[in-house]
Amino acid sequence: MIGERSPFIVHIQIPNSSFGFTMFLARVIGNVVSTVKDPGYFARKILVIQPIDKHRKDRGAKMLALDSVGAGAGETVYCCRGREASFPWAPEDVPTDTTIVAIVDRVNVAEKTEARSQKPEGRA
Amino acid sequence: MQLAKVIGTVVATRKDPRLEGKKLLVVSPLTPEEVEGSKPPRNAGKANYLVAVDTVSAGFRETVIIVQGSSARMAATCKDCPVDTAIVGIVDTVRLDQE
Repeated sequence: MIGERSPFIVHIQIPNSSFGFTMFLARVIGNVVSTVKDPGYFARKILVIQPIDKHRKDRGAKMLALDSVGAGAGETVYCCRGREASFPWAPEDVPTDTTIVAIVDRVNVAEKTEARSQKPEGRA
Repeated sequence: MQLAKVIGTVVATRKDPRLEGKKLLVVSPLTPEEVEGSKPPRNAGKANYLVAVDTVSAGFRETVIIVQGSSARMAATCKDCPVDTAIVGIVDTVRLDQE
């Protein structure tokens, strides 16, 4: 979505970033401490996330996300990108382009899709 | 949002009137590992760069948080400005969980 604006910006992105996915799953892998920041960030958590695919494997470059649900280390979360990322705090203007909007309990993926990417294992 | 390092400044005289009084900085995106110190910087801030509008008075060589896209316009001093990338925070520390 953001990538459509300018081919130049896409070019200088870190390779393998998950740029272009407006909503995706990720794993929380760290946090960032910042004292001097935009007033919209006051008392909010900035976390480091690693985007993952539907089989929970790492996919793309690590990035930062603002937390709106109280996610913690190691948790699988659901993120939103773009202008909509600031909607959890509407009508307040929070300058964020990636926000954690949910904590994932479980992911169900259809058996067919799974069989294509990995060989079926023997079942007990 | 991404981590980046300030590697230079931009001076522009002819510009959109809404950009007057704003500081333009050249920043180079970094990975969290490079900021944390567990990995050395890969390309020493030369290959990738962005021009960002500074909203927090960041300085040369500081590690900052940048926001891209329409969200950059929501930064404190960038309301209704033609801004695409904004610096919204100065990073103190980055901590990554040990696997």
